[in-house]
Amino acid sequence: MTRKPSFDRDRGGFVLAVVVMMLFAISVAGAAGYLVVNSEFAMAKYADEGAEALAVARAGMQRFVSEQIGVVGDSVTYAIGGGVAMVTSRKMAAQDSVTDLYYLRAEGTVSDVFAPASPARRIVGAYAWHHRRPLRHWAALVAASATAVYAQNAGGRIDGVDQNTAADCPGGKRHEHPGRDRAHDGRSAVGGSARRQPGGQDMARRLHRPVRLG
Amino acid sequence: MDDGFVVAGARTLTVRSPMVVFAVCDRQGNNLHVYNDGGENALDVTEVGGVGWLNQATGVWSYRSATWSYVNGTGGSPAASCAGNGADTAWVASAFHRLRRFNLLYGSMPNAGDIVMLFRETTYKVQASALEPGTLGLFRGTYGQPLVEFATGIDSTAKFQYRTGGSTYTDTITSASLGNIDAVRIVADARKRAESGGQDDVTFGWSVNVFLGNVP
Repeated sequence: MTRKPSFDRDRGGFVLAVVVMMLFAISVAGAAGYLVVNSEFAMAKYADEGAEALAVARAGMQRFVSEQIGVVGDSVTYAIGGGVAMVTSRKMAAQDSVTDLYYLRAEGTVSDVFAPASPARRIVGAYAWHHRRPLRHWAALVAASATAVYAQNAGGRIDGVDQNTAADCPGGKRHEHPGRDRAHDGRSAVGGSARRQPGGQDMARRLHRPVRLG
Repeated sequence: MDDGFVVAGARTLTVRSPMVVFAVCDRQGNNLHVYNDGGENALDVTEVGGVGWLNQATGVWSYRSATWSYVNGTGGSPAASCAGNGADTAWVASAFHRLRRFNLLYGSMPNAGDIVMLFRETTYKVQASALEPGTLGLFRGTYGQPLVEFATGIDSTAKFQYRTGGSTYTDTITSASLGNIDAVRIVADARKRAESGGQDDVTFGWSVNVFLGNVP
């Protein structure tokens, strides 16, 4: 009869425990290493996104200025690269009748798919002069504003006076439609039918409102 | 770097950097009204070291040293005044601010459309350490503020050097050549006293060249 040594029972499973402990230690070390690498990767990524947001903001500013023709827009959004640039303009002062001073603000944002609620954001600002070119009224008549019309010919005149004669409008003197407005002495009357009339009457009616000349 | 260096010495380096640039939108007597994006809260007023005024014809800035409390104006209605001059103040009325005493600093006042600046001055100085007497320390401070020691155990060989073109670095630069500095070398040498029984101090250090990219 063979009897197993007693120390075998005392040491039963010893190696297994050591292996488990080693595996646990390796796992902890691996997790710690992963955390370090992951945090450094995240920091590098955020720094990169911040730099990209700054580039987007600057690009948006330059695009806004280069595309600026005519009326200055209040706010414009551009999709540039992997980000969005929102450019807003704010008038600071009117230097003279054709020159205004604006403050331009470009905000560049670059979103991270893992943190969409907190995109990288950089802002750049700049002042800009906006010069309006004086309007040269080459056309015969140019509406410069709601109340002023400029005539190319200094002698031009619009006063609502019907220059037509009865020969130009044979039916103009006849009152075929009682109640309809008439052109008395060439001046228009207000009211009456909106129905279009031929010749001078129609012209007189349409020009019933005096127009100021520049 | 034009206007960037105020003092360039072997043991003292003072640099000027812009904090915010304003376009004057209105002037009322000796008060200026300007727009500051974000308002006063966006400005670290304790770091203000002075003001600048741009000559738009020549592109040259003129600087004057001043604290924020000296040029900070109160009262009046900056936003309303600027609105009267054509400014759009909707939703940002609190971002308009009053500045004062430019007439005392310059002898005249900027007008609407002029460009002015608030800048900071930061001084780095190698001098006797307060934390470890008998050694040197590196101090840092902004204009009007006391220097604060933030590095101790500096060796006597530590210094700043400057390059004005070429490849030679010198310890001092004349005021006329401050605008020509295109690189700064920081020689950061440190000295550690020997341990008990040691014969010599332990010295170590490094140097780095900082090239200024915006030098024409």
